[in-house]
Amino acid sequence: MRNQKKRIVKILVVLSAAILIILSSSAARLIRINLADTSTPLLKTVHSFLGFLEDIAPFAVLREENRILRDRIDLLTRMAEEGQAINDENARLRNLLDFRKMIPYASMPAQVIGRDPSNWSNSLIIDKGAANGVKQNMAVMSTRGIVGRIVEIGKYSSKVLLITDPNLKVGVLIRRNRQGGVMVGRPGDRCKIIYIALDSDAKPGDKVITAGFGGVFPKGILVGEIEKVGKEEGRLYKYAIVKPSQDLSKLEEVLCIIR
Amino acid sequence: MYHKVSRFSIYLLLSASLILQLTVIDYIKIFNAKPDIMLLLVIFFGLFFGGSVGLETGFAAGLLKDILSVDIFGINTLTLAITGLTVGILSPKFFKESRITQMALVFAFALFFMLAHYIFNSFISKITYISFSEYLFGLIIPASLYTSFISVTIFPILMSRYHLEEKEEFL
Repeated sequence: MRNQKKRIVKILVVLSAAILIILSSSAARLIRINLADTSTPLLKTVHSFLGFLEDIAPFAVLREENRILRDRIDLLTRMAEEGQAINDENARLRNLLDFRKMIPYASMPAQVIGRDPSNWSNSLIIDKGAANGVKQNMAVMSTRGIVGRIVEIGKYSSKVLLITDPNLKVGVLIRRNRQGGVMVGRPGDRCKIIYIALDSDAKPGDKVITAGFGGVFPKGILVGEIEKVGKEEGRLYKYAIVKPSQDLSKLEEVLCIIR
Repeated sequence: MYHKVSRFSIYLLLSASLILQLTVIDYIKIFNAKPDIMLLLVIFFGLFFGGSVGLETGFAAGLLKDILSVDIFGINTLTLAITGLTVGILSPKFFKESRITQMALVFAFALFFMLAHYIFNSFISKITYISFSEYLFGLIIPASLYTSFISVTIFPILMSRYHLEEKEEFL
């Protein structure tokens, strides 16, 4: 009987605590930013460790081959593999650097050190924070197009809300016919343009760019490509499903746009 | 009668799974769905160690998720705590040692968690331009299915770690 009472009290305490957390959103937000920031060194370490594992994985395979063949050619192959990994990284960074010079805005490169642990929201954790000059609502992009915007800033890390998150709205234009709409994130790593006029001739394959409204995203940056156009029952507008210009779950480096 | 489990091992497993969720889980996405290892742990501890442990594991897992996510703060804490408690309360009704039952239970409780999350989320954030069917077929069902498939590999490891495998004479 006493145990039963204790259990009920525990359940009530835990559930009330969870509800209180939801209700005290501004205080909780502040605590979250600071707590998330303290995890940055750990995330950076894990990130470097994963990079290290990625580097040594081909070696393990080659070492195995070397043991079997005991041949000098295999040694050379291993060296070539090693060089290739470094070349790939170089090419990626050079690409980012060239792109940085090409865009008409000042930008700050950042490395992705973590991803959203929840299935419900799409975000990235980057290794730049207030100490590096990151500011709220800064646009974030990659060499292939828009990525998202900064929503939470710690001292040494920040969270980027991706364009595939349902809470992010972006004003967009269909490049071919210059018709506008509002793009929101959608489950399944896709975006959805809502409020497309009923007489619009938008069709699959059309490129979508940012409209530049709202002052967060610069105008004319590639967002993605229309996959499907349709009309939901009872709505006065068409919608379009957009495939982002890149796979946002595999991003490693991004640029924060300073405007 | 439930087995005892140390809090330290629960928090250690939760931390390890959080690091997995933050770093590599995105690389194993199938049809844009990713498995939820933390939810899997909450279901496991609720199923084999009872409602009280399930509730505590769910609360801790949800809080960790909320800290590192951009989701509405507290929503994972609440929904995972409720899921852990529900799993624990209902667990005596199932023959949970069977792999097939385990998969079915993980699928069912993953659906429960995601639907609860959807309901709380729609009360708080009021996103109206994404329909329920888009969430259901684009996220809820694929993620629940994937999580239940992953349980086939993770549950046996955890069961052997906590000596929960059924003795041969009972089979």
